[in-house]
Amino acid sequence: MIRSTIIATALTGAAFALLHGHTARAHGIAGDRVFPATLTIDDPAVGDELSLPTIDSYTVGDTGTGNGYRQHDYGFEWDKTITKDFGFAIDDGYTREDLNAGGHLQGGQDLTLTLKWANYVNPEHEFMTSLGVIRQFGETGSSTVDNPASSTQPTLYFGKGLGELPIGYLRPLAITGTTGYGFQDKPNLHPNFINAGFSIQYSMPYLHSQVKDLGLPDFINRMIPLVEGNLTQSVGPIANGAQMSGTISPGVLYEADTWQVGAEALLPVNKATNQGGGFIVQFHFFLDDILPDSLGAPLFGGN
Amino acid sequence: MRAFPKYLLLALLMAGIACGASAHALLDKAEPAVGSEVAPGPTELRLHFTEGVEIRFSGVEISGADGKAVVPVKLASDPANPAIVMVTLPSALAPGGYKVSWHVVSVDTHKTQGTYTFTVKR
Repeated sequence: MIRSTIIATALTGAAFALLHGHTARAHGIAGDRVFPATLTIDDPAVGDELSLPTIDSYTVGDTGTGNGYRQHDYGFEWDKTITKDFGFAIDDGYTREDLNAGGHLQGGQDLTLTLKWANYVNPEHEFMTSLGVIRQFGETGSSTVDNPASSTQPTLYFGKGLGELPIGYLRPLAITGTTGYGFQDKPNLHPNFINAGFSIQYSMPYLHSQVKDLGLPDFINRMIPLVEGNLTQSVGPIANGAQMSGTISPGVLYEADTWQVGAEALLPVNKATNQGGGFIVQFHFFLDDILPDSLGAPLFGGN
Repeated sequence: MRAFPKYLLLALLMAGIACGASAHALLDKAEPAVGSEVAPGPTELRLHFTEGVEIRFSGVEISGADGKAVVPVKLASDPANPAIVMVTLPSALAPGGYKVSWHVVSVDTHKTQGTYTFTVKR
């Protein structure tokens, strides 16, 4: 029932949007470069955006025995600017775990609040950085499916377009990344961690409008093939030599006028990740385009 | 459980609002085309944007291979379509490579910019 409701939500939203989609894209802009919202890591920009829904599904644990399960997450994130360069994001969601042994667990996820400051933009070099703090509020979700730990994670975000490369067909490439250190509220119970993420993107919109118009269909000109990586390493005395874990996610984004949709595979980087393959899909709405004079505008200072 | 009807309502709201929304103005098509080679003699460029632009707050500069601006250009909106910027040159472009740098403000005040090149054949 829950899955069907969420899928209906996604399809209905997509159908409505597809009916009315036109052109144009948004949003983290550094000179000629537009950095899109990515799915498994946060992009380097501050904006007025809504990711709704984000759906992923993947196996966890030993799928050959009754110990494993398939996890389905249904989430959202709302990004709001306070000033043009400073904003916050709230994300939350719902998890269902279908146990191989039969039955399932389900419940809400922990609430996460992010404060982010876009502290540097270099338009000439298509480069931007942001500084943020991610606060996970433990025990705000269901104890049956979520991590009870609370943590605070200072994070650096960056994005760099490669438009300066001398080879035209490489100029649409861009990289984005994040790196942060997570301080647990109770480090004696839960290990601190280092989190790092990256994306490598090839922007067909950039190729089409900045390098060469190949006369491709508009549908193709709106796509951004990409690979994302999201890695976590526990650290500290109680990490017990835990290996790094994480996912590599190849996929594609499609940028419409006021929304974006993305789909990626979720592939574990190693056995320590303790998860099998899966997928993630996301609908993303650009509130600064949809509601430029109200919800999509900074609270102070205007655009 | 009760959160999901909210998701549905919000998704519909957002998708519905998107029907009448404006957006950032990005270059959708150019004449001469981005990265193209064209016959001698163009006296006008047409830049097709994805949204209407405020011509008073927008600009286009055309420079040659040496990086120097070619000539002052005259901008105007296509009366039939405010998303098209017409760039009039005082004389036909001589053979060579040209770089077009544009910056525009869309009707909802978002600023965007971009560059591209094209070549006039001998």
